[in-house]
Amino acid sequence: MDDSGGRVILHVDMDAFYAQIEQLHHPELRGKPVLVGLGDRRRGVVTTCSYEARAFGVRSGMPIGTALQLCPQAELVPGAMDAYVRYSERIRAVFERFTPFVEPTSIDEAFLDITDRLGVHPQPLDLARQIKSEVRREVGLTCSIGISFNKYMAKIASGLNKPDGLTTLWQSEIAEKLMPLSVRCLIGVGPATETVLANLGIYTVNDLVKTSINTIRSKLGQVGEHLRSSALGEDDSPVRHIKELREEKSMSHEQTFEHDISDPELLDSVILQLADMLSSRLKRRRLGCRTVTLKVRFSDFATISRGRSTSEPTDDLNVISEIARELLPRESVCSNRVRLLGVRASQLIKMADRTQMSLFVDPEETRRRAADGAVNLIRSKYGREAVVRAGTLIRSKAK
Amino acid sequence: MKFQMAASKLLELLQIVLGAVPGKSPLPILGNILIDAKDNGITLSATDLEIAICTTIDIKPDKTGAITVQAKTITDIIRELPDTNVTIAADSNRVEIATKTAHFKVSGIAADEFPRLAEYTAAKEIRMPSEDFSKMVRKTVFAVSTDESRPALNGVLWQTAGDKMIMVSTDGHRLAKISLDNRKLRGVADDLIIPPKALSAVTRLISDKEKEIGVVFGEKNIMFRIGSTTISSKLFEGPYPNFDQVIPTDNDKRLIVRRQDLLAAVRRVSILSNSLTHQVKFTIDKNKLLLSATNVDLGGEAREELPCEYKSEKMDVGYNASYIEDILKQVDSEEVVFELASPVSAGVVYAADRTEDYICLIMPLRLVD
Repeated sequence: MDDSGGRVILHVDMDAFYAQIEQLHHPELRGKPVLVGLGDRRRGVVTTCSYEARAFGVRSGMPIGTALQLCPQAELVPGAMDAYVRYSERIRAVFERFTPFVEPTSIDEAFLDITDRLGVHPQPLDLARQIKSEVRREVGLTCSIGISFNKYMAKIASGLNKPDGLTTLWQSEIAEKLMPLSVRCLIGVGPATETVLANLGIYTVNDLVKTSINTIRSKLGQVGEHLRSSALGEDDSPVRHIKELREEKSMSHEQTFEHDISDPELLDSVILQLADMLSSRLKRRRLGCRTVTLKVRFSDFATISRGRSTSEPTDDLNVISEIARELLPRESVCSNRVRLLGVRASQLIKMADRTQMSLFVDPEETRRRAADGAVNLIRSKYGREAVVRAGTLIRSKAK
Repeated sequence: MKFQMAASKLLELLQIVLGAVPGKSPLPILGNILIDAKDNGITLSATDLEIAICTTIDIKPDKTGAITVQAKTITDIIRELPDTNVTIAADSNRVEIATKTAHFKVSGIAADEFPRLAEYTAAKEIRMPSEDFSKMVRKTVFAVSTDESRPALNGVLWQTAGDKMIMVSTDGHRLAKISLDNRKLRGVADDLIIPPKALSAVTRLISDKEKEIGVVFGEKNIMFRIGSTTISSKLFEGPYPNFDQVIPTDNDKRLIVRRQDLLAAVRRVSILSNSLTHQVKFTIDKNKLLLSATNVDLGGEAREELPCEYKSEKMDVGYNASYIEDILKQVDSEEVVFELASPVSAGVVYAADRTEDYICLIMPLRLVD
């Protein structure tokens, strides 16, 4: 069982979250392949697909056209982001009944530290089963849970047996359960990294941990180093307390590309979309940020972060995206392709605390605020994708 | 290149040009100082590409030539020398610094790799009293915006077109405007937006013996001469916002208060103000001004009452204490006037004795209880 004395961390991952909610709302979709799409039929991408669709080889992030070729009978539904957010909040409330150490990492995933909740009874597996059944009973959705001694291993464990899985990955089980698997099962290994590793003759997790740190560092830099130590079970990052989350210091959105890109128009479009997500999230939390940071990881894994502050806290999409775009190192992007882009908002301040009045009223900003308000209203009624920025439409090329 | 100079004199020259050396730069050459020895004098120059400072001393070198050397290294060495005669010699890529007993060798970068700096065209120079210039800069530069999203506000506006020479700066929350009679500069240039770094560099160099400074107005840049030092600077692009439009003319409430007393009280009370907003509430009543602040994080509260002259109805208005302090430090008079209209509109602040044409605007903080 658990290696006694250590931590017990759960990673809860909702199964095909958006698709499952659609099937819950629309009984006629149950048992059928469902694609939840972003953008139109011709140029959009699949954000989530049901397990029935996955059986046909459909995957998230795939162009809708390709998905429909693989699975012509699939039902395509537009996403209803606001409904998904409400489900996410309800699920989190269930988690918080079990432990205050709940750290959501996205809309459909969270880490829970249940170390303190365990005595002689219940055992980790009992508690995880209880969480699964309460989520099922109260929210109507299934999830997969990974149980381990740290966050990294718990996340791998939850992915080993989906959907509706419950998997342990204790220290004593790593040799048997993890080492023989492909490096693709490791968090942070996508097709690009997989290729780099394959060129080194590294195919399984076992190959990775047996390779010298210097060899890996020379090809993948710090990212590689981190990958290897994580695969060895070295991750003592804590699960944050819900109180910490409420007093959140920053928020960010990132996008890793399946194929590295350098098209400036495309990069601008991705930045706009990331900024849009950030701006909506700030508005939902009624927060403004005073610093915007752009993170760029190049194809050689070199990573830079550049930030800039504004004199007044802002939640304005235009301000955030403009700053982020100006921070993009155009010269480097020409010579080096981009693997990941991220936009972070920090120095968060409650907008209600923004009390300094201005001498100059910018009529442009007033108009923009009114337009933003209308967009948010439409989105809250018809879903996030009901209105999108024209500048983000080019995005489908990025996939 | 070879010349000799007193170490203390050389240090003085180095410290003048250090003002233009950037703290951090992607171009290593900008961390260097250019030393150019010509028959008519030795010139030291530094630039961050936004401003450049050059200073010349009338010494005939033993051998002419030029080289650049890391600013920090040479300054550190010269600073540590006793005040003795120092010999500076250089070939194309190495500088030697020697006294009778000490000897240093530092590698340099060839002078032709240093950015070409604009020449000071003495023929176009206009001279103005250095005191006027210093005063205008001091009284406006504090209100310059540091927010890069509106670049025009990052500089001080200098207008010389009309009968009045005007300097204005604002960050959108407060504004400072000073006007002086304009005789010599009238009509010489369009509105200019000057980086504060250049203005501060000029005022720092003005000493009692410099009664006048020289100014050369260019299209894209401006140059100043203080004695044997020249400072050139890029200009920011406009347009500058229409500041006249936001200066209220019909504020009907007048609060008159002793400046030093108010400044001291604001400083004290603001210790317990909100650390983000620095809000100090002014409760203004008949001849009585109450300042108050609260800081929830510290569980703190502060109040202080001051006598004042005020005849209108009672009013509560919130201000950022730092903005009030900045303004009160620049108004030169015993009493200061606040002309107010409402808790949500700009207040006009000026010296009660009106000996100078100087006003500041301050926008309130919205009071939330």
